[in-house]
Amino acid sequence: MESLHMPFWAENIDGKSIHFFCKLIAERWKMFYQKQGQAPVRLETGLPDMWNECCPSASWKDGAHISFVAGIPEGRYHLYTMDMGSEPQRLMAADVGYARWGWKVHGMRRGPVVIEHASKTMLLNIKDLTYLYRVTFDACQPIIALITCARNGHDESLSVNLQTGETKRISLENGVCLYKACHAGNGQYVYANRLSDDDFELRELAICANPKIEPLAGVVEITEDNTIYSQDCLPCLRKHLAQSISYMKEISNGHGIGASLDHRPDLEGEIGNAESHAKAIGVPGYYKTLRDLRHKLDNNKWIPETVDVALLRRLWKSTMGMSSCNCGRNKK
Amino acid sequence: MKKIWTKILSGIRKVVVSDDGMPIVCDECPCDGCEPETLYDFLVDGREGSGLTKVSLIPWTGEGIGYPDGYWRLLETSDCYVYATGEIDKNGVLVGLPRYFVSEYHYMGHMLLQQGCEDEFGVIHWPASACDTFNYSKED
Repeated sequence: MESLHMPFWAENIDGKSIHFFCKLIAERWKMFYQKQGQAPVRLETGLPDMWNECCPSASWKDGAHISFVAGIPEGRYHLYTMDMGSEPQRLMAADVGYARWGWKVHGMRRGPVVIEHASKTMLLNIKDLTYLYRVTFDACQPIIALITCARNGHDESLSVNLQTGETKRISLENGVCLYKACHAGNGQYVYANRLSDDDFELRELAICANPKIEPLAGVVEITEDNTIYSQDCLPCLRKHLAQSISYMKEISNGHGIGASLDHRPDLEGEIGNAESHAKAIGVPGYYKTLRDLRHKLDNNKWIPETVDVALLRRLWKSTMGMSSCNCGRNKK
Repeated sequence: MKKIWTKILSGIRKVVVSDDGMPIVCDECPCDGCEPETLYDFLVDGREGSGLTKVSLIPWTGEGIGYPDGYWRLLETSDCYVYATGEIDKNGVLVGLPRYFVSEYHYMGHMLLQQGCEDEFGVIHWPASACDTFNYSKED
């Protein structure tokens, strides 16, 4: 029996429906599309056979534009875009998401959902989120994101208006989750219906003509991501450390007191910048070291010693080994 | 499985067994120094029937597993999520390490049990992984 997942029902520019979905082939998920009245066709991406390809979505403007998520089963997945018939372009690491005109909506399995639109980055947080399983959009109302997730360990499909945050839970009439559902028009949804208690993946695509749709307040919050403006930036710290080392060497080589080109103010500026980043990153050892060094150099008319260069080299090296993805886990 | 040191109590000193089986009396752990290291690399799969839903970490509990006063973490490498972290005590015990890792996620995950080491600035260094390449500068 075939196992089918991840439906996405769309209409092309001629108003004809095209159905996208994923099918398990040799233990890997691959994408297919089916035009009205025709047999399904494999959506070729050119990516390796051993990769999973899932979460298809499509929109039309001067041709079909596809987005999907792909990767090796035990590795990292990425969000891709692809014009039909061309090579896919990798956008970013993501377990779920889609890209369509001016919108990139993506996330890792633990959330949050990141919404990039009109030069802004917003974060969509779901209360009590355990895992994200699929994020796509409503082809009939593209401002609506359709999210299948687990909250408090229970699977749930949500419809979220990305502008207003208005959220609804969509389920079968008996309340069972419409797993990885898409909107099929006229209020109907297509979802991956589980066929076997023993096999999680054995599913068929089923239509739900009368979904239960309930308003859900206080579950989804969309806020602006202010962290992108923060000085919490490890590579920035490293850059200023390296420039400090460089200015220290320049000063030691004659560009200090009495020279027409005196680099001591440049050094003070770079140390100050590094200290600001270190404080924002929140590693006490970094900013205490830089503050102490600044005071020492201040007392020494900003003439560095060999030990100061050596200290900054060790600090630079320390930042290289600091995991940027889990910075909080590096700090005591 | 790799054990850095094995302790047999002998008063306040310790008797350890070298790689070639010779007992050595030491005042402290006879390790070269803390090195970031992956202790255990395993797959999990939260789907029913996968056989990988619950993975035993019991071999990694007990004494002599990690470098004394180091740190440990359980990292999932697909989304770089740290499920658990803790300290390593003076006897090499990974304090707080659960006996089992149970996956609730519907799909496959790649887990690493890692040892981390603290440097002079108080930063803990972990073994290099794909999770440590999320590095980009916000400045020009």
